[in-house]
Amino acid sequence: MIENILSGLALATTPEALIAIFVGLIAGQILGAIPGLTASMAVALLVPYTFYLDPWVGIPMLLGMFKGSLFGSSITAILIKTPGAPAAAATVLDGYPLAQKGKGVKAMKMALYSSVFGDTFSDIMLIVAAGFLASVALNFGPPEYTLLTAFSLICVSSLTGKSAWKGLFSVFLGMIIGMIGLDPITATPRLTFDYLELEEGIGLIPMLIGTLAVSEALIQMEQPIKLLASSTLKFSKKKIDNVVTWAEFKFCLPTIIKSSALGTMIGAMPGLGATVAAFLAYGEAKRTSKTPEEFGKGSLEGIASAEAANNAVSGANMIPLLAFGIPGDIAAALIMGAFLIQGITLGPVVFKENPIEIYAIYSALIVANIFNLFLGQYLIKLCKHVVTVPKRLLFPIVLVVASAGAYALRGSLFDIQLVFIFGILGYFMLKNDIPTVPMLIGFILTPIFEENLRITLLLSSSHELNIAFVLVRPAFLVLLLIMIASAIIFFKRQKNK
Amino acid sequence: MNNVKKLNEGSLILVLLTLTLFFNFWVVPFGVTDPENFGYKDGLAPSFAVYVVGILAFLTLIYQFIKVFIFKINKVTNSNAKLNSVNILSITRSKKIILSCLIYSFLLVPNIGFYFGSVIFIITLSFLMGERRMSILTVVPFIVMLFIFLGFEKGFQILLPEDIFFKNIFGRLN
Repeated sequence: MIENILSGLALATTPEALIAIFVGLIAGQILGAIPGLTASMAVALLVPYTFYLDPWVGIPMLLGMFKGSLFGSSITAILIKTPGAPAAAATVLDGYPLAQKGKGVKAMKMALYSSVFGDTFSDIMLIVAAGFLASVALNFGPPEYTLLTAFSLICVSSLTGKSAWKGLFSVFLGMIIGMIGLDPITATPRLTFDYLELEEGIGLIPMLIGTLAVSEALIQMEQPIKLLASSTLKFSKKKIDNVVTWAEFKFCLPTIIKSSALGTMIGAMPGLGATVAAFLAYGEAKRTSKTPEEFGKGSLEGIASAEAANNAVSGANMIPLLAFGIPGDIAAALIMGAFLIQGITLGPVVFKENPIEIYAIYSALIVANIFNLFLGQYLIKLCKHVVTVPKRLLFPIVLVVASAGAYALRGSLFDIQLVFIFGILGYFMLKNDIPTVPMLIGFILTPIFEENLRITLLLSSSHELNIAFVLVRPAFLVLLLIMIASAIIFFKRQKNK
Repeated sequence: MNNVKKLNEGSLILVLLTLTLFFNFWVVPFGVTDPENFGYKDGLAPSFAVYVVGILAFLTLIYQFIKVFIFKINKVTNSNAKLNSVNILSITRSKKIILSCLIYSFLLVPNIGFYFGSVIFIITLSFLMGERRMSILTVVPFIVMLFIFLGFEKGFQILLPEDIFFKNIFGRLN
């Protein structure tokens, strides 16, 4: 055992492997910061090249790229309200307001620390409890997914802003947009009006870029000419505004740990993904925070919760992959492909047949986290200078790069048009104080919720207990009890306030 | 003339109510076709979830309508004040910017390609936002396009919408 661990560690820490991780991280961080280019895309771009590389150069590079892109996406989310990837959308909620206060560096540093913490937390969980977590996660079927997504939709109410009805309307709007495309059960077109492009459904990336980045750019462009000539973002010169103090980190630590655990659990369940984890953790952090009124105005806790959760998903995605050979998301599926190219079949037997390789993966993951922490500091310094470009130049450039990013994913001109349609919709919504984030959450969760609800109903029709069959599923009952308990705690706290 | 100003809460509810009714009575019936004899045992009809959400949106608005118009509970937010402080010239500019965005995505990119369309778009927006230095207006868009070309097409092997002018220029970089 110890021999295997040491051999694995040696394999992952050769100079070539370390350079590969380093290069992968740099490329990933830059790629992740480009709106529209997601971690999955970063991995997809690199997979073909790994075939020509030594396995222990290609695989560490791939893991580094995956981790780097996750952090990179939060940089643009904080500085210009343009998440590099959907997973960083929740980071916008507090990262951008904090950057507007001149504390962009503090926000980015908190994002970096909580990202690395979340990532390391899920990697440790992967190392010590992969088998157990995977077996728990695989007990989650359509009824549990339905319950979990329904709970998440209810939690959205905590993100609705000042006016509850506007927040709810925004959720419903997102849900309707999420239903456009082929019906998940019958595959009949829904709300497409024979428009072929709509049959694929509305892409998350164009919607995200449009609703968050373009709408904000349109609002910013209304500023007086004098302000548009000034730099996009100003950074405070006070030292305290450019660092995360130990006291601030300590204050956020319980939230970071809780969000990392939540992200790990969601990552272990195939299909939900980092975006859902980030919003769910953000809602949960706000609900249990001592300072919920700070959320949405630049709360460090808000940034920490979203970043810890979305990065925890990355390591946790490897749990079902390593334990059962089931990829948790597209990026995990691509990583699995890269392993197959190198002749390693992931699954239960890999622990017996390739123990050294498994420990090498674990070592590479941990090393990548350490490198990410140091490289992230340099990326922060570099990005600080980018946003000193005047607004009247930066915003048009952002819109063009965002359009290219939106096009890149599906190669569809329609996606570029969607970016601006959603940008204009978001602009009018913001003008009328209708929050846009609940719309995004409604959009992300509805397809998962609807599909699982309908599959649950289909399952119930062939079960002797009918719909009551969900009550004999232990995972469903445990989840239900957790949700009821958290609702009771929430209402008790509200009453005490 | 000022069509981007914030509507008051009552008007906003009325506009959204009309849109919701239009959605429930026109968009859903014409936009979703359920298979015959499809019901609960088959996992619900495709239109079911759409109707549920449409009705929930309608009920939310009706509730707010009653609050505002019948019980006169109307919290006025301070955003109007924020809007009034915005220069009328800025509002006119925002209309032009929105129009530019639509022209860029619906006309320029599909017809003349991504690179040339984007150059025109960047120049137009920067000009609308007060940039008058010719050196900046002419050089910056081309540098941005070069970076996008090198990053997307050469680096990531992602081909952007075909371009009638730039293809010949950048093509020589191969």
